[in-house]
Order: sequence, then structure tokens, then C-alpha cells
Amino acid sequence: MSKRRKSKHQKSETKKSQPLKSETQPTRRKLPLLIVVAATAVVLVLIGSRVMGGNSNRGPVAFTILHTNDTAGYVDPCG
Amino acid sequence: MARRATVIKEARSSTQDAVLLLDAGSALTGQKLAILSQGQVVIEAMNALGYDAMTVGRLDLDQGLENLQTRAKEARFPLLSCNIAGKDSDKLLFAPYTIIKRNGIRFGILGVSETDVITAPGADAVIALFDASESVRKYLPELRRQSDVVILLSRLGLEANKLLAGTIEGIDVIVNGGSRELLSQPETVGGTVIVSAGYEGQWLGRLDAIVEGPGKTVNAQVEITTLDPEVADDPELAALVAEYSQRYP
Repeated sequence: MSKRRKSKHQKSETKKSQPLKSETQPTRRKLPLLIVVAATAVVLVLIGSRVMGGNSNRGPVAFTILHTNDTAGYVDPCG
Repeated sequence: MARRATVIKEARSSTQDAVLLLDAGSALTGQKLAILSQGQVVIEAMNALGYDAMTVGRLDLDQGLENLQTRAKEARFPLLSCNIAGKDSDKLLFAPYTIIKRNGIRFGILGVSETDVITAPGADAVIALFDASESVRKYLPELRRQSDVVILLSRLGLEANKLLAGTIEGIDVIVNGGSRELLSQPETVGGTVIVSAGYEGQWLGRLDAIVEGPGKTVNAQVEITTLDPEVADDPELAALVAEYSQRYP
């Protein structure tokens, strides 16, 4: 009899512990998922800025280009 | 060259902005002194003027690949071409691009040559030419990533350059060569500005512009200076040309 009671008791403990386990699992899964999503977003932003070019990270740049073309060896007197 | 030097010096002293001096190719031969010196006088003058880069054109190969490679070693600026390769190796014979940092701005300069380079004497035996637009597409992304301003020195001619600007994103400025237009106003395709300064060294082009983002060039202002006798000779360059004239009478 005592063995049976003990067995029942053990069984009921097992039943009680199951909901606890199921309550904690989703929390443990959510945390890494959030980290992965955040990390992915950061990486995508970094890749995006590199694809768009260096000046996507800075303000407008002013410059001057002096240029020639097809000068064909003219050194004297033209040019 | 002596007049060009005077205008270049004035232009450099007229602004606090970063100034680049670029050539869109076919510079080394054509005139007597340049032919006789095999382009040496041109390279020496361009060194003295402080050119930052040029692209390789048909006339630059007129006296052979070996001669051009010798001139390239003498140049204190890179000769660029992203589509001229060795016939046997299929490896590029010149750097496809260069990056110049000035006033804290990274200028990426890509060079592309015209199909006519293959018609230079003996060229077809030693060089292979890759498709121009495909080559630009190949190198542009990696250059864009490393640059604040991307400039294409293109010998494809104005119409082809307009097409290129309309189909390939991320080029801020195209310096035209190969079709010899003199543009007193910039051609604008999307956010890309195209400039061209004529031929035979008769003019110097100047572009003042602002780049707000990749392929977003604004406030582009072009100035063309005619290098006529009213422009004073720069003494240093005049002496250099005179020296070569004596050496090759």
C-alpha cells in the first residue's frame, strides 16, 4: 500500500512540475530571438551604409575638378 | 601647357575646397614634340602641373604598349583603365581606379577606355579589351564603398556616357573624353554630372559642385577657360617646353 501511495505521490509531483516547465520555456526562447533580431538589424544597417557609400555617413562635400581631355600631345603653343 | 599651368595655379588659389586635376585620356601623342619625345614631354609637364590621374586612350597607345608602360612609370599620377587587359593573361594592364584623400574627402576615380584603343598600332597583338559598361559595373561597388565622391574618367564619348549615367547608379561625376565636346554647361543625368573640355588642349574645364550622397551631385557650375594668347605663359612650364623643343628640333 505504502508503495502505491508513494508512487501516486511521485506521479502527482511530476504533474505539478510540468506546467512550471512549460511556463519558463517561452521566456528562454524569446530572449535569444530578440538578440538575434536586434543583431541582424544592426548588421543590415551597417551593410546598407557601406553599400550606399562612404558619404552616406557624412554631410555634403564641396569640391572642384579641373579637367582636360583629348589634348593629343599639344604642349605648345595651344594649352 | 604653359598657359594651362597659369590657369591651374589661379584656380587652385581661388578656393578653399579640395581641388583635383584630371585628364580623360589621349594626352600623350599627336603633336610633333609629343611624338618625337614619345610622350615624355607630356608626362613631365603633367607631373609639373600636379595631375592627380588620367585614363588611357587610343592616342596614349599610339607608340606601343611598352612605351606607354614606360611613360606610366615616369608619371607621378596613375594611368587608369578598368577594361584594358593583357592579351595572354587577361589581367588588367593598368589600375582600374585610384582613391585620393584631400581635405578629408575620399575621391574614388575610375578609368574606362574606348573600344578604339584596340586599333592603335600593334595593340591587338598585346591587349584584350573588356566590355566597358560591364567593367564599370564590376569595379564601381567596391570603389563606392571606399569613397565619398566617385568620378569616372570615361573615353566612351558623350552619348555613351549619358547612357551609362542613366543605367548605372552611384557615379557622381563623369569627365568625358573620346568625343571632344566642349560643354559650357554640365550635362546632368539623374544625379550624375557630365563635363567635357573640348580637345587639343585649347581649353581647361572647371567644375565646382557639391555631392550630397551617392549619385547626388548638386550645385554644379562649369567654367571653361580658353587658353588663348591672352593667358600668360607660366615660366616654369614654358622653360620645360622650350628645353624639349631644343632637344627635338
